[in-house]
Amino acid sequence: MTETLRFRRDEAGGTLSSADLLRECGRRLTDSFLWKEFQNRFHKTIMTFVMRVMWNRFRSDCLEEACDLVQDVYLRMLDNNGRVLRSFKGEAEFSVKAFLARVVLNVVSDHYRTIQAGKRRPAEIISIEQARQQGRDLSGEATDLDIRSILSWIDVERLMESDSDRRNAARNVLIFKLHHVDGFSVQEIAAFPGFGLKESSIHLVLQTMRENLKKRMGK
Amino acid sequence: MNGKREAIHGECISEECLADYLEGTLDAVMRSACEVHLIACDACRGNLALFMKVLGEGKRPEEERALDELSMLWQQRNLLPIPAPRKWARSSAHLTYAAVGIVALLLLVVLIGKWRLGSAQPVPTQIVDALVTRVRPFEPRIVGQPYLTIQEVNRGPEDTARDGLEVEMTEKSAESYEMGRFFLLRKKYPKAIKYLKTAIAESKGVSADVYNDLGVAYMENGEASFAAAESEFKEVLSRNPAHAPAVFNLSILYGRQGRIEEAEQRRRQYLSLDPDSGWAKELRKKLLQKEPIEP
Repeated sequence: MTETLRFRRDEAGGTLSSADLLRECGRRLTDSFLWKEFQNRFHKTIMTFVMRVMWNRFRSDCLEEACDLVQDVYLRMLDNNGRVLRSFKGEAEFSVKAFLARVVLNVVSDHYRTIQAGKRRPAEIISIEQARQQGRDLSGEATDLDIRSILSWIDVERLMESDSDRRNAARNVLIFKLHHVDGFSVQEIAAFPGFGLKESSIHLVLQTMRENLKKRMGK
Repeated sequence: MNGKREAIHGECISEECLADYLEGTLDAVMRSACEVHLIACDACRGNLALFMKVLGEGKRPEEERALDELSMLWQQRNLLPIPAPRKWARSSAHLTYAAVGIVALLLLVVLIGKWRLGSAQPVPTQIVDALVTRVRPFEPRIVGQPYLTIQEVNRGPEDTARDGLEVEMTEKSAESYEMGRFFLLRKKYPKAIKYLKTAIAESKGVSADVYNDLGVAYMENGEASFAAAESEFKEVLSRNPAHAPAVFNLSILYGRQGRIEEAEQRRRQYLSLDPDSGWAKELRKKLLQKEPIEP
């Protein structure tokens, strides 16, 4: 490779921040050096995101499908002369990742939505006995869910009322739910700057919330 | 921002807003509104949880394995995520390289040529310089000529045979000035006049030296050309009043024409310009003898 080409490569993306690289790729869609840099920095991230969305939302781990979807993510970014990339306004590394995650989420969701639409068929004819059985099953499940929701809602209201930190009461309940209901670890929650808390603080929040809940239950 | 507010006040929070929430870029009011909605809406919290799982830093071992397999599959399928360079861009790159190669080759040839020319003087110049420094075929003085006593050259203007040197000068494409000087030294005055006149016509701002040599050619060509010779020498002096060879030649010309006073005036002028050379001694002898030295 000549000096000129090496220079172009450095100039193309080596010194750009991730956010600027993203926008620059949107402006120079045919610059292979710039896109090579994009691939170096984000290709693995995009693959990881695709697999995570597939698994967590659609319970699919088909690698062939993942390959196609990664390709679709690139195509989505190139759509309308790179409008998506050019419209990116963030600056931080996290913003870039969040942006890529959103694109991946949209692409994967659209893909499965299309599949689901293709699978829609005219209503199946079933026997009356089968319909009764299904109705019994569904009504029982729905009742359980409703009760759980109501209980959960009351708990939340009460939890918020009992929290001495009134300003952050909603945040604390959200953290409590993310930990206990959605299964996120303290470390995973602390990794997101939006919560604005260190691991030790999250531990403290969870502990306080548990104590408040115990008090409420004791009453 | 309005869009984000609508998203919150409506049924669910947009993905953009969820991402902004996780990044911590929402203002306090928006953040609180998001949190209130998130603890009440399982669907939105599910979306938030999905974002958190997707954006999470750590990778589980099975995730690492799946990623490796996906990378391998990607390579096997030879997929190209980046925009491939256009065909014309590739061919234009090849053309550029080819053009650079050709230019480099030409430069090399020119440099080698220059080096060869620089290391040795061009052959026509060598021939003329050799003739100028070895023989003095006539009394007048041409430019760049060292002092020599007058010698008779066997070949006269009547000799029309093309000698080897003349052929070589022609073959080497000697310039008009060199050809003129060559024929002058060979006493082929009409040819010398022709080439020297061509040399003057070919280039603007030609040196006074060329006019001097043309004057010598006219002077040696015979009495009929004396006036032309005088004109050429005066042209030289109008350009450079201290041009020693022209002053020397005028003194000779006036002597031949019998213009004794003018000849003496020019001899004295020459001695003031060049008092010590062989040329000066020759003129001083004439001053003492009061008669011209005939070739």
